[in-house]
Amino acid sequence: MKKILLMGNPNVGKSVFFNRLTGANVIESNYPGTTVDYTKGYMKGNSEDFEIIDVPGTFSLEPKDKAEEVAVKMLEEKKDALVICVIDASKIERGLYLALEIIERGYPVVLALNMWDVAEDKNIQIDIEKLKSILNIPVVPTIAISGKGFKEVVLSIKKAASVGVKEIMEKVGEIK
Amino acid sequence: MNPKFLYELQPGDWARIIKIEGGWGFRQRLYLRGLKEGDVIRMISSMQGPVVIEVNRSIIALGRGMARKIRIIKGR
Repeated sequence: MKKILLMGNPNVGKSVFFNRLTGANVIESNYPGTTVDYTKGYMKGNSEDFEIIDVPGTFSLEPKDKAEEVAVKMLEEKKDALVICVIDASKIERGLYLALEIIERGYPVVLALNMWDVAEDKNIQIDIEKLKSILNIPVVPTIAISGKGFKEVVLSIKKAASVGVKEIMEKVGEIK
Repeated sequence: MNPKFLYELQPGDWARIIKIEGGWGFRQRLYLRGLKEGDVIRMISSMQGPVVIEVNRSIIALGRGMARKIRIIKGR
């Protein structure tokens, strides 16, 4: 069974995401660090089933506390996993660091820009097409609490492939 | 006297971060939480306990020791 890891900064909605995808009911709250251990769940896709793992939030892949250690260990143990990197769309620059670190390690990544409604409220505009072309991975705006964008996330799983960080950096260089 | 370190600010004060002192790990930890040199911050709570500031539309709580390593100039 294909494994999917849900990773991202603390307090971006990974657990809400997890509950949406699996129909489980893990504890979610509006505090960073609610998930300190991982939870496993299953999702039925169109053609295959997936095992989904809700990983504690981490800022980087250099662990600074116990929960981050769990997150990094999960990633290192599941070499064949796909990663859905959940990012808070209203604080996008913080999450992209982790996303790049995961991409750098060679995992196929789907980028979910969660809390899209919050970003809109704060008048933050994100050019998704450009982000897609720079990172060369699927990028999907989502609102986990209402379920917007989840169909696209599931459809994007098939399209995700590992990409080289080098090409990304070259494209970033072009923008400057 | 003008405050020079983050913890010396009063609640409601605005300031700009000019330097984060400390090692690479410490600075990276702050960068990943969205706090970097040049940012304008607003002090929320500094009287006792953790130092709470608003920076780039998000709120961050720092230990007093951490706040002692962040040099600022007052004003926006």
